Amino acid sequence: MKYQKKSMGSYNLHLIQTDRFKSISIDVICSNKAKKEEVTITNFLSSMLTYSTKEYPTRQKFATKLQDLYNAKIYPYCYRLGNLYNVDFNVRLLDEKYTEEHMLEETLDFLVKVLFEPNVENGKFDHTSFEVIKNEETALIKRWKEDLRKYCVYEALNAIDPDSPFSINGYGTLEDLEKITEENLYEFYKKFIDGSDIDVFVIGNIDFQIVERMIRERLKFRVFKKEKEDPDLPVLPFRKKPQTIIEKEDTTQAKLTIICLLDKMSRYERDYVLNAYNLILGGTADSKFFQNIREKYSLCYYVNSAGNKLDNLLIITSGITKDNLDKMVMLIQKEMKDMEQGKFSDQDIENAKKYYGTILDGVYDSPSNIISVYYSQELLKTDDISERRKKMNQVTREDIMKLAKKIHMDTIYLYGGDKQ
Amino acid sequence: MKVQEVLGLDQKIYTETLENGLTVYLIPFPNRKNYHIDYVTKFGSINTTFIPYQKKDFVEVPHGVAHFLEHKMFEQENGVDPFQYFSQSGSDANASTGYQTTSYTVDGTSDFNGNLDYLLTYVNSPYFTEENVEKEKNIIIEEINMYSSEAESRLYEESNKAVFKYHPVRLDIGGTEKSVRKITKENLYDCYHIFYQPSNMILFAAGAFEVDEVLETIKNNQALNKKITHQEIIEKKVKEPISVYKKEKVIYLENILIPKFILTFKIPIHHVKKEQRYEYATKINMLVSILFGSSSSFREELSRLGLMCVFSVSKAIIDDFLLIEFTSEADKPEEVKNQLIKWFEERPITKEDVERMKKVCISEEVWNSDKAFPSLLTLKTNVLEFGNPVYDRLEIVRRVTLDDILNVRREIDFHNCSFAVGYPKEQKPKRENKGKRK
Repeated sequence: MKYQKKSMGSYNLHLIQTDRFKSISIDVICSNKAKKEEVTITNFLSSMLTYSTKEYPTRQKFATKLQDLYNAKIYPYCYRLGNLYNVDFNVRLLDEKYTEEHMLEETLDFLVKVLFEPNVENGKFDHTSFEVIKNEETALIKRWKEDLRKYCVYEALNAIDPDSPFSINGYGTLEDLEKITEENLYEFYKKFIDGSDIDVFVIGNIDFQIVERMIRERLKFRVFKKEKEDPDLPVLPFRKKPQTIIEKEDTTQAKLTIICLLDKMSRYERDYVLNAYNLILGGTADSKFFQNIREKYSLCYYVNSAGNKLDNLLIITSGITKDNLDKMVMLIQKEMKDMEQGKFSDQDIENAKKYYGTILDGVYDSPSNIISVYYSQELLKTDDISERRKKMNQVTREDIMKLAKKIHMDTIYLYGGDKQ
Repeated sequence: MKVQEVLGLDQKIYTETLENGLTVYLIPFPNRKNYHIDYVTKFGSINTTFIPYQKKDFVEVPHGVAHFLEHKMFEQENGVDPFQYFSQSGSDANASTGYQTTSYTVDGTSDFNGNLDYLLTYVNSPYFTEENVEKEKNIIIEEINMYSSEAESRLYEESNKAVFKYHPVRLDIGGTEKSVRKITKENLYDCYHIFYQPSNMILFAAGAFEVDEVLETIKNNQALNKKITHQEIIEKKVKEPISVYKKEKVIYLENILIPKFILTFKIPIHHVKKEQRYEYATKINMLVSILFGSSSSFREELSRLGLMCVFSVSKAIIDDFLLIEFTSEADKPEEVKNQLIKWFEERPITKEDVERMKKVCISEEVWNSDKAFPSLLTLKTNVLEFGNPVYDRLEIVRRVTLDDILNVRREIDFHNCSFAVGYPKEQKPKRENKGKRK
C-alpha cells in the first residue's frame, strides 16, 4: 500500500494505491465548525446535491446515469466530530478491470456535476427535488426520537450543557427545516462549497500521476486556505455528586443513560488509555459490565460504555426495569471504582490490547476504514497504524487507574419504564 | 474438499459433508485479514412441535425456546464463559436466533483454528441446569421488553400476525414473558438433542484462513466427534392458507410522530420447483428494483401527489411463501398504499429498464464478492433458502428477459396483501367513557 499527500492549493489530495480491492473509493470531506443552526440546512443540502443536478434534473435521470456507470454510488454522510460538522461525499465505483475503460474519468465527471453544477435555475434549487428532499428530511427528523437509546443520550447531554456542540441533534430540527427555501438553500450552497475545509481521498489500484491529473483538472474548489479548526471540545467543570433526571413514560423498559465527564487527558491517554479503559469496563461481551452486571445479577440484557475523546465524555447505556435503578447505578459505580483501584486482571488488559489489535488489522480490509485512518492522522494528528499498535501495547495498569480517576459521573438519566 | 468457482467473480467455494452429516462451506480470501465463522443449526422460533430424541410422541415446547437455548449455549460446565475465550485473541463472538435458524458466529483476525475449535466445542457441549436456566429468564425478559419498546418491532410482529393464519412465524422469536417463564431445562435438552445433530447443522466461513487446516480442525474436534445422534427430524407442520389472514391491522404506538406501515405481498411458491426458486427470486428482485429502486420515479410521483413517504422494500422466503415487504412511514398511509399497489401492478417496464437492471445486479455481485462478510451472507442465504450455493448467478441474471419480468409480475395476486399500520397513540379515537369509575 502506498500513500501520497499533495496540496492542491485550496484542498489536500490524498492518494492511496493498493490492489486489494475490486473497487475505487473517492471521498470528498467538507468540514465546517459545528453550529446548531446550520445542521439542518447542511443535511438538506447534502441530500439535495446527491439527488439531482443541472444535467440530470430528475431522480430517474440521475440514478440512471449512475447505473450506466456500472452501478457507481454516491452518497453523502453528515456527522459531527467534536467541534466540527463534516459532510463526506462518498463515491464508490468498480475497478475498470470489471467494467470498461474510462469509467473512473466518467465517474469523476459525474462528481463534478454533483458538487459544482447543482440543479439550480435563477438562483433557486429545483422545486420538485426540493419537495422530495423536504419530505424525507421531515420524516427523518420526526423519526429519530423513536430510537430511544439515541434520544435519551441527546436529552442527557442537553441536561449537561445545551450550548455545547455535543448537544447538537445531528438530524436537525423541524423549526430550522421550515426556514429553508429554494433560494436560501442556494445561498447556503455557495457559502458551503467556497468555505468548507476540504480533503479529497482516492483509494484503489490507481496510478498516482494519472489520478492526480484527473482530479486537478476537475475538482476546482475556490476555498481560501486556512488553518484547520480545532476539533477538541473544552473540558467541563464536574459535579461532586451526579444529578438524576427521571422522565416518566408509558414504556415497558426503562432506558438508562449515564454521562460521565472526562478531565483533561494527554494525547496518549485520549488515543490509547481511554480505549483500554473502555474495553475493560463496558466495551465488549467480556467486559466487567457484561460479566458482572448482566451475567451475575441478571439485571439487564445490555449494558455498554463508549468513550468519546473529542467530546471528553464516557457514555453508559442500558435497558432495565425501573425499580432496579438504584441497584443498577450502585453496581455501575462499583465497577468504575474498581477501575480506579486497579481491580482488574492482567488478562483484562491483555484482552483489551488484543481487541484493539484486531480492529487495527481489520482496517486494511475496508477502503473506508483506510481513508478514516489517514483522515484522522491529518485532522487529529493521531499516529499511524504501526505506531498505534506499539503505543497501545505500552499501556499499563497504572495508566488505566490514573485515567479512571479523571472520569466523573455527571448525569443519570432514566426514561420510561412506567407501563404496568 | 470439493471446490467450484463462482462464475465471473474470481471466487471459489469449498464444500464438504463430513461422515457425521455436518456440511462445511468455505470461501477463502487470501489477501484479507478478517475472517467470519458462522455455525448454523436449522432450528429457529418456528420449530415448536416435534418428536424428541428417542421418544415417540410429539411435544410442543413453549414459544421462544430456540432463542432461550441460544442464550444458554454460552453456559459451560467448567464455568468458562466462551466470550472470555474469544477475547483472548481479541475476537468477537455472538449468536442470533431467527425464524428458521440459530447462528453462532466468531469474527476475528487471528487464531482462526483455535477459535473455530472452541466454537465447535462450546456449541457441542450443552450444560443446562435448573439454576442457570432460571437465572437467564430475567435477562431474556429484559431483551423482550427492549424490543417491545421499539415501534418498528411491534409493528413487524403485528404484520406477521396479519399475513399468516397458522404458521408459527406469527409468534415472536423471543416468546413472551409468560412463555419464557415456563421454559425448563428439559425443554432445552429436547430441542438440543434433535436439532443440534451435525446433520442438521452447517458451518460457513469466509475470509483469511487456510482451507486445509480448517477441515483438519473440524475433523479433530472432540466435542463434535462425540455426537452420535442420528434421528430423523419429524415435525408437525401446519397447512397455511394462500390468502393473507387479515387484509388490515391497525395499532397505536407510543413514541412515534409519523404513522408507519408494513405492506406485505404473500406470494405462494409451492409450484416453483426448488431448483428454480433462485431464478424466480432473482426475477422478483429485479422487478421490485426496477419499480421501486434508486432509478424509479415513484418518490417523485408521491411528492407530486402531495404525499409524504419514505419506504424500503425487502424480500423473505418462509417455507413455501415468498414475501415482499414494504416498510414505510407516511402521513397518509392508506393513500400511499393505494399508489404503491397501483405502481407495482401497472407501471410500464421497458426492455431498457431490464437491461440496465441486469448491469446493476451484476455490478452488485462483483461488489459483494470483494468482501468476506457479504460473500458469506450470500452463500448462507442461498444454501438455506435454495439448498445449495449458486455458482452461475451472473448467468442467471444475464438470461432474464423483459417477458420474464412481465410474467412474474402477471402471476402476482396484488390483492393478496396485508396492510399493518401503526398510528401515533395520540391519534387513537377516544372512547366515550360513560359511567366513570371513581
